[in-house]
Amino acid sequence: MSQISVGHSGHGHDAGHGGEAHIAARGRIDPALLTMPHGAGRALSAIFLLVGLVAVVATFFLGYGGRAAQAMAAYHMGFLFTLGLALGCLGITMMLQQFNSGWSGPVCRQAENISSNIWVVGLLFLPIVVLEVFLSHGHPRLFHWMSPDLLDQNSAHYDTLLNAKKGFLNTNFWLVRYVFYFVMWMWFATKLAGWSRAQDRTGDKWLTAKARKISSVGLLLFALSCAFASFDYVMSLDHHWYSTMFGVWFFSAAAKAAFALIIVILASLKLRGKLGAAYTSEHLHDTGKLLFAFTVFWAYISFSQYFLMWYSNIPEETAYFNLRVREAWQPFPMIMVVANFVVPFLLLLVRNFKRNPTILRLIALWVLVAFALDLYFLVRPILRGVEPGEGVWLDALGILGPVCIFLAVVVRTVCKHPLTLLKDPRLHEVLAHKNYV
Amino acid sequence: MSALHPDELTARRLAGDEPPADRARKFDPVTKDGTIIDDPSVRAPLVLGDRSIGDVTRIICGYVEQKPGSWWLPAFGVVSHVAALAGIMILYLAITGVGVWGLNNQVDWAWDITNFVFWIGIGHAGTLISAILCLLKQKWRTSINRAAEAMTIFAVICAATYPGIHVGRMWMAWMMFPIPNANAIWPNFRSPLLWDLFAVSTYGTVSLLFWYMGMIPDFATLRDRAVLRLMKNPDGGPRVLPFLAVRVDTLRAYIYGALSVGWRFSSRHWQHYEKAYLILAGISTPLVLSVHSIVSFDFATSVLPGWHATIFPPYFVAGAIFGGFAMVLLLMIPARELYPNMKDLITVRHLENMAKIILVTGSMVGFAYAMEFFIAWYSGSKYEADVFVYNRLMPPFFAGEDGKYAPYWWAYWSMIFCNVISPQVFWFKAFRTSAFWIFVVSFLVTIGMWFERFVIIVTSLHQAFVPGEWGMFFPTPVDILTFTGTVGIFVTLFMLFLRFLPAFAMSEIKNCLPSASPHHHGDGNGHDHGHDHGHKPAPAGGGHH
Repeated sequence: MSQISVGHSGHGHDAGHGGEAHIAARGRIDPALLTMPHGAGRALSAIFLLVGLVAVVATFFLGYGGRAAQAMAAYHMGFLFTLGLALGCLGITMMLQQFNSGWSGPVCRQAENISSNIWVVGLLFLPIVVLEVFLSHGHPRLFHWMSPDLLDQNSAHYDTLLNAKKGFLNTNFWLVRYVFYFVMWMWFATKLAGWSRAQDRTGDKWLTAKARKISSVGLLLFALSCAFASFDYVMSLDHHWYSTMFGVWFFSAAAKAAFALIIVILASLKLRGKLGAAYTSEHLHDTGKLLFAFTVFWAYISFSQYFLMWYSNIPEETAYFNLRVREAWQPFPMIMVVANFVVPFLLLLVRNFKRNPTILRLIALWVLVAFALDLYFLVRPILRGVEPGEGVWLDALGILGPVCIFLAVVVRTVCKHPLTLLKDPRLHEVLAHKNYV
Repeated sequence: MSALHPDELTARRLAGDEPPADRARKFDPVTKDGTIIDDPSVRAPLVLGDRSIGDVTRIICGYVEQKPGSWWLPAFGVVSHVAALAGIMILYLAITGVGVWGLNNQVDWAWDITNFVFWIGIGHAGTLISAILCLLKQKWRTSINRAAEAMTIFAVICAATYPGIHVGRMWMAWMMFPIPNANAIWPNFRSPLLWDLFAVSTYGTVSLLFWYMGMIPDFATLRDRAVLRLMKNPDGGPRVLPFLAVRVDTLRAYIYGALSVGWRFSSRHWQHYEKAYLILAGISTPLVLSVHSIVSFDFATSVLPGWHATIFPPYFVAGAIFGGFAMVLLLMIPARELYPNMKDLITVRHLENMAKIILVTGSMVGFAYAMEFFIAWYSGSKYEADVFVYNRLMPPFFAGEDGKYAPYWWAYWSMIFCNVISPQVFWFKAFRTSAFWIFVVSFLVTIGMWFERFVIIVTSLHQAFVPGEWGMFFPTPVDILTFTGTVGIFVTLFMLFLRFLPAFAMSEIKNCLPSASPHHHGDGNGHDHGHDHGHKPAPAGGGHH
């Protein structure tokens, strides 16, 4: 039972009165709109958990039945999907703090809800670590650079280029980084979410100042760790290939997907009649605009990266794209451009679409599906023998597994805490938020 | 002094001849001028001194209508002479040929392209402040946007000079445009240099429109004030020249009248204005990103180690904003000291915000340097790694046994010190709230951003793949004086801007005043200096008197 429902069941007017009363005192909003009833979301969470576990088990068995590499790649895509969501939300939380943003109480709360579950993402990566590092018997299926054969000078597979980068790409350092990244992200995410939830109880406005302060250092560390994590978990899948832009690219894709998930959550709550004046069509409009901005940012970064490699046409770099346009993969780049950019770009230009929770939620869901496609395009082609249409159920199950497990905990977190920052010192700005034009 | 009748006071206000009161400012060691507030529940006031809407008009129009301080003419004399240097050097170049520059067969792009990219970069802050910060609803931009936009235009003018004079036969520069001619020569549409031409000219055009459109209501205010003064006093007032029978206010009425294209402050005008402003902000936002991205393509589309890096587009954009903000601060911090009451419009909070942007963009630039370095090593490409180590990084006193070092190490380390290390002082509040330190860091950043372009261009070229093509570049006096001359052009234009054009967006600043809010005195947030509410005019939407 959260402290919040205590608040509106009677303690509302004593010294430590509940947060909704704080908002309600301004006569703008019904306190019941800002919390979920006890037990809400349990069914949804259970369904997600069930689907997720079934999908993971099915992926495992399908993999065991002779498609091990594909099963692992599929699961890895699912992991990357959840990593993108959690990491993107951590970045968004810290950015909102740094901007001193006043209008964004509900957005900030949902970003905290998602990012504070980043520990789940860390655990979801464990199976890959175990399978690749400890049970691969020298034949890793995803991260081929882990194979000792490639560094053996006497082997026919000796890889000079890998030898040059073994100071970074070696299993031990990779494991250390894995622990370091997730511990650091968890620390920031739990601190920020914890302070914000503590503020709901105590109303201590200095917690906001504190969050702002650590977010500044946090963003610096976030930028570096996010970039290197993207090298570790995505770029090193093709260990010869490199791009200075890759870290920025991964952030742009992750932030876009994370923002889409925030919109899905908020629009769903809105459609269930929650949030009231804390999230009106004005807020919807602005979140829609931000999703638009993230979409364009993704397109800008993706285009720049691809275009510079295409124009220069250096074999080390174009090998990556050659792999992704060969044979049956040929239509994929265009599908990517349309799904990730053209469709959301055109839809989000329309004012009414951004102000309508039903439509905006549909667009955000589309963006999430497009993010999965994006990851498919990044990860799946490394299985050189397996064509894109082949074993599509396995790919889908592999992605669904980690994603559904993650969503199960996110749903629980969303329902457990107040739906917006209750005693944010800039609450009046949330409630008074308007788009003037 | 005798008390004035209130009606008389109003009449004087309408005529605009009441001198702006130079109020004593409080200074507090913690909140500085009262705007450095840590409390997250308080938004710092954007205009200080409890100014009324009329005060804002008077202060800003005063910069144009009243004589500037005695410093103005000597300073203008110096900078306009420096500007003339550029003209002389360009003339000398045209007469003599490109041989007067220091570039050579080994380093065939050097000084001129460095300066081109430097100036184009400076121009980015203006559009960032007026377009992107407008879309992000950052109200603090209102007191710096006009000056930053002006600076953008002037920087683009300086930048556009360089490719024009670098083409060799500069009287043929028009052939850069795809104009059909008798020889059927077309520019190469596959070259990023041509895209640059389009990008920069589009950027210059849209920035100019944005700047001019924003000034229209303010021109109308200046026009109306001149007309009112003429009506009130048909015979007096200073003349343009002793023997010329035209009065200054008549001239103002005509010139500002023409520039204000019939602006009448009607609500219909405002509605169109706001819509146009938003549309231009929407167009300018991708434009500002595209310009420097395309400038970066000039280098990154090549196969040259040190130039070909995929991170170049966003890295150049971040660097441009970084350098642009530094230049805004370099210009506005002295202006704030020299012009009366400007500190009420550009508060310490404004400076702090800009210092933070410098810290963020400086760190982004540092991030890009780090990524380039890491990937140069990670790629396993020997040439890529060598460009970083032996063309840029290695100082002679750390050279290994082979004695190899980077001849331009000093340029590289100047860049690192100025761009990455010096802005880090802004982690500390004492530095980022001190106008002096912000000025110092901005100065260093401006130098660092110049060196960044020098490092990218010259160090990558001077020792490329074939040792037979290795060489060094050193600027000649003509190079140096041409650059000095463009600095003079830039400052001259900026001083003229401050003297003759409205340096602040009046209506936008008025919208940030507490009295402009419909909730004024409503729920007690915002600032509450309770002392003289008496003379506060009614919050008329955009009314200028």
